[in-house]
Amino acid sequence: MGKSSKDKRDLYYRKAKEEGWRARSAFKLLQLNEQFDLFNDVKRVVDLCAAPGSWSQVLSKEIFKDKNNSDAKIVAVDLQPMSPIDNVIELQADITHPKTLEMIMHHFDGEKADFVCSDGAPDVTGLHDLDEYIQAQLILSALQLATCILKTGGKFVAKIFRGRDIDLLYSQLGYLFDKVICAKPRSSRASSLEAFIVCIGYRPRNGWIPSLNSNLSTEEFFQDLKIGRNSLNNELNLEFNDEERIVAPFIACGDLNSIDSDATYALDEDDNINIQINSLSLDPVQSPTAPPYKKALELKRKGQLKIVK
Amino acid sequence: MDNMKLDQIKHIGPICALKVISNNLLLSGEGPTLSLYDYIKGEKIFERLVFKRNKIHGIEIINSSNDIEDDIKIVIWGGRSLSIFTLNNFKDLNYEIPHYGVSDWIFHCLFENESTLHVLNSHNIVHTVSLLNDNCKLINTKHCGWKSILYSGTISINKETGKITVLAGTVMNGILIWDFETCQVKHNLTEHEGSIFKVVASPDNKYIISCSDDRSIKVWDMETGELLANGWGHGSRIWGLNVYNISNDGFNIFSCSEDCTARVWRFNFHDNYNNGELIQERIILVHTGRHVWSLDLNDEKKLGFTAGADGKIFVSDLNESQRDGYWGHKWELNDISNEINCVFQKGELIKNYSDFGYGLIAVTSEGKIMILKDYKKWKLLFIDDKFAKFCILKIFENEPIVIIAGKMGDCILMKFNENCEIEIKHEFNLNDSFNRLGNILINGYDDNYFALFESPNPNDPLIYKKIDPINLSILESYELLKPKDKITISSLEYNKVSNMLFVGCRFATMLVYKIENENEKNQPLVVYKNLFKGDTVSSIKSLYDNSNNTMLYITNKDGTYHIMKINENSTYEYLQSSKIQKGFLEGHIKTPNGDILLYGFKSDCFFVWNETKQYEVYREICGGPHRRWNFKYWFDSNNRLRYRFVYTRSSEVQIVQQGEPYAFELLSDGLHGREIRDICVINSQNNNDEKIIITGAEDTTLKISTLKNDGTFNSHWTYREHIGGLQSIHAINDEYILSSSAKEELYLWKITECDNKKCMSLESSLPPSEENPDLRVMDFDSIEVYDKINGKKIGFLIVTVYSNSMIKVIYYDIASKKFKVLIDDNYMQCCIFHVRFVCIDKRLFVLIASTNGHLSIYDINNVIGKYFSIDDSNIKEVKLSLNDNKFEEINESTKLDKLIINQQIHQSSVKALDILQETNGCIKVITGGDDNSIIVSKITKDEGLKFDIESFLPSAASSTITTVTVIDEKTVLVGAVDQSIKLWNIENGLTLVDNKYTTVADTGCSEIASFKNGEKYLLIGGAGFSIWKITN
Ligand SMILES: C[S@@+](CC[C@H](N)C(=O)[O-])C[C@H]1O[C@@H](n2cnc3c(N)ncnc32)[C@H](O)[C@@H]1O
Repeated sequence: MGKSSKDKRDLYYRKAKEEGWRARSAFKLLQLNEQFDLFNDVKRVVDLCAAPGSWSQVLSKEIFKDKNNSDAKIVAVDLQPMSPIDNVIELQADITHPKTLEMIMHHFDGEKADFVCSDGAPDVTGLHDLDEYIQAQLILSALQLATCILKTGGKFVAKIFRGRDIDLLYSQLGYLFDKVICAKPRSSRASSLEAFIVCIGYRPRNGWIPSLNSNLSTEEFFQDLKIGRNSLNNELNLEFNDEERIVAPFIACGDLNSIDSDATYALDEDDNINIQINSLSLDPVQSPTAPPYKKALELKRKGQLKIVK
Repeated sequence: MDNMKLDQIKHIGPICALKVISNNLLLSGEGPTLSLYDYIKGEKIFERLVFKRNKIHGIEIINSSNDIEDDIKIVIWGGRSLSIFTLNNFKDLNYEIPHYGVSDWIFHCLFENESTLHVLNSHNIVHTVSLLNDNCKLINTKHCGWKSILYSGTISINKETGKITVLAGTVMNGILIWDFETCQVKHNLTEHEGSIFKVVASPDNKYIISCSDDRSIKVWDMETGELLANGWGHGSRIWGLNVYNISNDGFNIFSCSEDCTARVWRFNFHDNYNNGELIQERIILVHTGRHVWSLDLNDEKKLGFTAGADGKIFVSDLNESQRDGYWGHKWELNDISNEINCVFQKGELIKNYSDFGYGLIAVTSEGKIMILKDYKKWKLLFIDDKFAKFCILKIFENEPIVIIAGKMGDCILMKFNENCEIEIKHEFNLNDSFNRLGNILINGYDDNYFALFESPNPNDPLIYKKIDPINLSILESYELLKPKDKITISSLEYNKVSNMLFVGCRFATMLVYKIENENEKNQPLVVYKNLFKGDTVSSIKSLYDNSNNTMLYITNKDGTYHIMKINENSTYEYLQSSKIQKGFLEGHIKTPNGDILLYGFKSDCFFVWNETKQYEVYREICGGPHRRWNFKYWFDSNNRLRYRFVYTRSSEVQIVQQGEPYAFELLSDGLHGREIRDICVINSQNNNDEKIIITGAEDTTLKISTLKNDGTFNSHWTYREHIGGLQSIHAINDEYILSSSAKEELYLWKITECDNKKCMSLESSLPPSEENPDLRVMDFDSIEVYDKINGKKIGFLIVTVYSNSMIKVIYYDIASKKFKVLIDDNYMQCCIFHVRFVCIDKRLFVLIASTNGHLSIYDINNVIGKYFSIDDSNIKEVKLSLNDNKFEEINESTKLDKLIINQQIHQSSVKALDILQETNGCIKVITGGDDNSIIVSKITKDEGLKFDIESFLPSAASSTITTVTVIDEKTVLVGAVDQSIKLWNIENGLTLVDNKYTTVADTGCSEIASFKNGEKYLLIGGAGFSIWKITN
């Protein structure tokens, strides 16, 4: 499929460009906020898997709109480097690495956060089960941090792939939050598996004190939490089918009249769809960082990948 | 109450694990099923479901101490599951396969010995398990202090020292190599970019081989961690690596990739240790779609095994040049000159050669006629000036009879014996007919042999001569007149059924002659022009089946091929037409088992492609099409294709003759290599015991297959007409289907049968509404239209919906193959996912469902009533007839009438929809949404129409519902992306009847095939394809 032509017609992409967001993802967070009023009373945030940074932009703009917000803090983490955003502390690290979580905690210096979000997506391979598993691991790492840093009543939002085991995750999150909702912003395509888990009202488990020990993997960290996860035992007799599964309620967010991310719109510049131009000047849409296969493309262009006989 | 039930009977899908266990046995992980193949005989020996849900992602074995094959111990893993059993246990159905698990995704398992297994998980932790007394017990867990998520990992054991090393591929450029005993990290190799997708050790444990998102393969020294070499070549991510052929000189690497290829690489110690290059030796293109997921090797026999998203398992010969009967050689002109003991003049070249089965005959530009006896030794036959500069050389396919001709029309016919000696020779010339010769085409059937001579003068006729195969005399001679237009002949075939001679030409032209009157001038019976969009008809071959039709296989230089049927009145139709992905076609071969092979050139290669099974049989890097070449093939006693290819490259003559193959090429046929987007089922016109299945996939191909009432499924042909991503395929009736895709493509196909295969051919396509079509035709529906007077089918009424909210109602006229747009309008600005015609109380409506979660209905009777009448009382099957054949009068399109219903039912996109027309005239609409819910709505006749929601189930699945299919009056099937497939009773609310898990990920479409004998099958498509039996 011609990706370029689809992108040109992607109104969210155009709108992001015009409003100065680094990625169209910004609208997903904005639409989630419209529905759940996520930013209310939020000052201290961890934005995981944040590159190129449009969520951080949204958060920075929201939290620092009143200038004297001295105790506010945004920490953004990604594998990829990000260009600087005002009032955002940026870390380049792997969020699944226990040391990374320690590093983030360090920036909060013992204080709690109001909101932890993760828009993380792995390198999708095309092996659905593996992709969904790694995605779930990113969420668990984010959740691990959340259990260490969220204040009671805090909020947690993470991107999910609604695949075959998503009901396991819903069930486990149910032990830790008052409300667990599966939300799909209209700016996220109906044709993708993507949705967001919105968890409201963090309730630490009674009698369980999370401790970030850099020797523990995420899996080991959750082992004694009793949120319905199977854990390793000596006989290796995990009965997977017995794990709890729950379906979280689904909420579509964003106005029905907002742009439809599945539709093809006319290219005509002065069509009647209202593209809001934001007066606030923000950083321009960021050019993507060089892909890892840049050299491979270069060699191909030079015709050096052929077999010479 | 219902007790309808679903049972899976067949699954085709991604294969993620292969393991060679002996010199004839291979294990393959096909979803949760483990299969055992004999790759010498080419058959599946056994298969068994070993996991409940998880796909098999890996297999390792350990040979037993007693060396008995049945005692080989096997570990399989996938997700968090693993299982351990012997080959004997596996084959014993009374043995219950044990099921174990760890709490994290498994990347690799390794038997240290028969009673100790190590398991590496995705957080870089190794569990050690004791297998004593057939029990599984966790005895130890180790790690190196770095527990972030991995994308790959291998545990490797040094067979000499017993030392175990863990190789772990992280998501941030790095590979961690740690010693298992001490848990010390030995190396952190950081020269890759992006996630590491595979890291393995060479069998001697001296080297590390890895690949990452950067698409390179790297070779490292295990001891020092030094990067030794880089291999570039794969066009996409690399998924599998394996090392073989280790010697003192170096080793080979076998790789497989997302780019759909497997490749062979060479690493040489001497040459490359310092300049660090991994040389790419061979590209293997035997899978389709995307992703070759798994590979394994038989190092002893030098065989490479690959499997991919297409469900195919292929065995590649990695040592072709060592097989019995292989012959490969090249001669420089000097070599030949020395051999024949005759000096070549300056600039003298070999102009032409042909293979007559015992040897090669060749002609130089100075008229030297030579023989390559037994394909080994050159001999001079004679020298004749008449054949200098310009010479035509042709050989009959099944007889060692050669014709050689010069510019002035001098010809020699020669017959060779096994010793490559001339047995008989007959000379003649064409001076009676014309004084210059341009080309000769030859052909034969049964015991008849003939040649067609063409003069460069457009006014000269073609001369047809029949040749006696015994004494080479000319038996008959005819003059065939050429049409006025410029004609250049390119291919020739005689058809026995019609007694007609077919001459293929350039400019997509074909001449047809009936050869009856000797001495008279024969006019062409017909001249077919513009047969297709391309240029030259490169080959024509008669197709004889039991139908008594005149049918031809034709291939065209442009890469298309057709089965052409010539009707009594000389009109023609294509029963089958398709094209290859890339390249030029020179000819086709039908194998004894009915497969169709196509051969030709692409970029710098000559190729033979199995079009039926979709894989490359042979590829030779020869420099491209503009050269002299000769391809000779035959079938051996096992009905296997054998071939010899001779070509000229940089004035060298090169020969390659394939040797005796060791193994069977194709172990599993597979299906689509990308996600299946829609399935269409129609009745076979003359066989109640089979259905025709058309599937369409993300890679834009369509495939036609059959499903028999015993559940057997076979694929026949593949179509590459669509360019845009496929959206929908539906039948109009048992003869026509429509398919739609992105780039605004709506194609009408006619289904037929010939050569024991179901076929289809593009009949017409709806012209797009813009110059650079960019819209997706999301869905469509159709109704047959009859002639009011004689009741014959004359057309179809079609409604199409688009990604920009456009709706069109179109009439298609069968006779003229033309579309006329009756209604052209827009719903809103959202994307419409579904459309149906619905008929309530003899009135016709259009029902749509969109991304905004609404069901909407338009009354179209005002427009439709102008041209058509609804004249059947049978509610279930609407019949339209065209009033007084007004087709010609339809000139402009109008707008839709007002929406009469526009009701939001789902929160967001309506992703699945099916309709149940009830006998009392009302209809039920069953929808599934992105919001996980199922809704049953009812539409009844009222003043206008009345819309009610009958039942609503909010969390009917844990993710998007993507397919709904009505099975009978009370049951529907609902499939979702969470891989659940559920049967619901919809009589009174929604009651769950059956709930199954499907291995097909990205579950996206379903269809029912109901046979006359009562058998019912459910077909599920997505990332794979499965067939379920529905029983009561
Ligand atoms: C969809 S993008 C995030 C977009 C971002 N929210 C924005 O608005 O600009 C997903 C990101 O997840 C990051 N990611 C994936 N795996 C990660 C990991 N293990 N640790 C940190 N970041 C990761 C990727 O590098 C990628 O930048």
